[in-house]
Amino acid sequence: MIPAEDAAHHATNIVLGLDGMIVASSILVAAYAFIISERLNRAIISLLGAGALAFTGVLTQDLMVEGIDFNTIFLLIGMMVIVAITKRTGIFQFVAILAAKAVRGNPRLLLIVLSLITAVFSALLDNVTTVLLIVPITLLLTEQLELPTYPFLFALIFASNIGGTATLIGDPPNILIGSAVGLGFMDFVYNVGPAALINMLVLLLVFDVIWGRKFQTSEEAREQLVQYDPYEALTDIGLLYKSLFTLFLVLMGFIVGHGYGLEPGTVALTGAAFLMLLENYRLKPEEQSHKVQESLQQVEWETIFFFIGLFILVYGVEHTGVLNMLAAHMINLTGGDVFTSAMAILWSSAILSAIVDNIPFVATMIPMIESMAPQMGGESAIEPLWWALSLGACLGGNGSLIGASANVMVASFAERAGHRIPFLKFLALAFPLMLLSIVISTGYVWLAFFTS
Amino acid sequence: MPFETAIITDPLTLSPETKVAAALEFVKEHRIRAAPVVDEQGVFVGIFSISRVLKKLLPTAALVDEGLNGLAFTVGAAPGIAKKLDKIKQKPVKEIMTEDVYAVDGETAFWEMIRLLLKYGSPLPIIEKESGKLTGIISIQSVVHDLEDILERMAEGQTIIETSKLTKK
Repeated sequence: MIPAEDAAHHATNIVLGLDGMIVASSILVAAYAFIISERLNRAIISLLGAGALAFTGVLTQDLMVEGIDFNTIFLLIGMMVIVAITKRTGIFQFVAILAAKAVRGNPRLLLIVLSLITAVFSALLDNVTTVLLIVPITLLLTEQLELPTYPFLFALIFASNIGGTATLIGDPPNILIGSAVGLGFMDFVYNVGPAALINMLVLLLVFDVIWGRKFQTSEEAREQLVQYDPYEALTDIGLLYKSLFTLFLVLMGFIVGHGYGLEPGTVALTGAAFLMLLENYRLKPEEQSHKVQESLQQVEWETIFFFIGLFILVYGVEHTGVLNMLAAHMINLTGGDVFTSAMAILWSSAILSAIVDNIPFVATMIPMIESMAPQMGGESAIEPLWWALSLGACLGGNGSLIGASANVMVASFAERAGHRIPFLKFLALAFPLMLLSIVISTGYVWLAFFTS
Repeated sequence: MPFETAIITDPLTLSPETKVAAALEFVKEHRIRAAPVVDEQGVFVGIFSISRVLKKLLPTAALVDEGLNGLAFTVGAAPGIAKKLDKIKQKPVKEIMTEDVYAVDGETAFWEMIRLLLKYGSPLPIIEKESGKLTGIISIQSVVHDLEDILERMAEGQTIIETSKLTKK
């Protein structure tokens, strides 16, 4: 992040006779209020807010571009394209059916294996895509085994958010943190990975106690399921090999590239281009255009533009010095103690993330925590704060049906399939379980970063 | 050219309370694939079709948008489809019928009519706007018959003015 003093173009600090700080924070607060109200699409709000910063003269266009974290944008677009191509191969259904056959349709074990598959896929891919691919096959399996679907949908939501916590690319808060602070793929695996694993195991135990051990199904239905042929779910073996090869290269790029200053955004976007090359090089030019167009259309542009607007909104308050001021307040409150700050960040981010979209919160917290670094003993001293933010924001998403995009996706799919998830019923169990995972994370953060 | 002459004004109809079993017998007997469903006042409530019954036999996960796009992997498993059909047969028509139907009127252009039939399926109900009553249906067969009828009359030497409305049958 370039300090404001070095910025190529200075915008005026006085707007219509008002302090730029007041204008920028008013626009940000108003935008957040609209986002929380969920009456208007979040991309529209964030782009309008970004535009307002320019029209009021708080930011110039050059400063707006400077505020956008293109590493995050490239990483999101690159991974979305790779997933869009990979999902056409049927690999997700294949793995789910294979697992269901491996446990011979035992419902208790099925809940566990489907959760684990979801967690692993969510760690490596976008959570929303993962649940969109796992939920349909899960519904088929539960229908076949005549099992209640609610426990499975509940477990998949938790598995997806917990799995996403474990890696740099698993969940948007981690992408934001990793990109802004320069933390690598393996940094996340080492520092938050164990916490995700412990949480997953504890929650699987809880799910088994509440639901798994009471599941009943007929021998006949299980016999039917065992007949399924997972290989029939694979629709394009050639493309599957190309996709897996690319995913492997991209992962290696994340892990190895970090040491060579190669940003994840570059790796993911190049990976996407490489996979499109493998898919298209033998086709005629017009077929190539068609295929490439199709893959690029699968990018969730609503999310991308929401991020672009949000980066500009946050840069407005950062550039005018509002965040420095807030950071100073926070240091006053915590007395500059790293452990107290970590706990404050972990718990507040968890509870806020359960109620509202965690992305705007994380995007605002990052520059604020960064500006706290000098008073707290420098960048390496505050590293636990990033892990606290990651754990709080990612795991907090489990707290309610609107806590994370994956939850919303599962709920909307389930509703269309006639298995509505009641908001309050979900909240009544999910919120306490989310708090349990934050208690576990509190213990983890203390043990891993504050005892030696 | 509107399609008025292609309208069937006295279509066979079903009642919403009829059991699916009886409705299936009814369409088999009349050699049709679908029939409009009307209540006691003659108000249109939906379309009952064999294809809708067939659709209900599929698992929900395969029917929903963004759901499963293939079921080939269920090969070897006999998922009790016949038993499922038996359950559906005990239900009243109103639970199986398609309620979300595209309705047309006699003023619709012929080409548009054909396009709608291909897009939304046959038959399409013709509904009186104020009362919601069914006044007729239009189907793929009735459209083709009507066009053949016109050809026949042309062959007999009658002058057919394409823009004029033709008298109802």
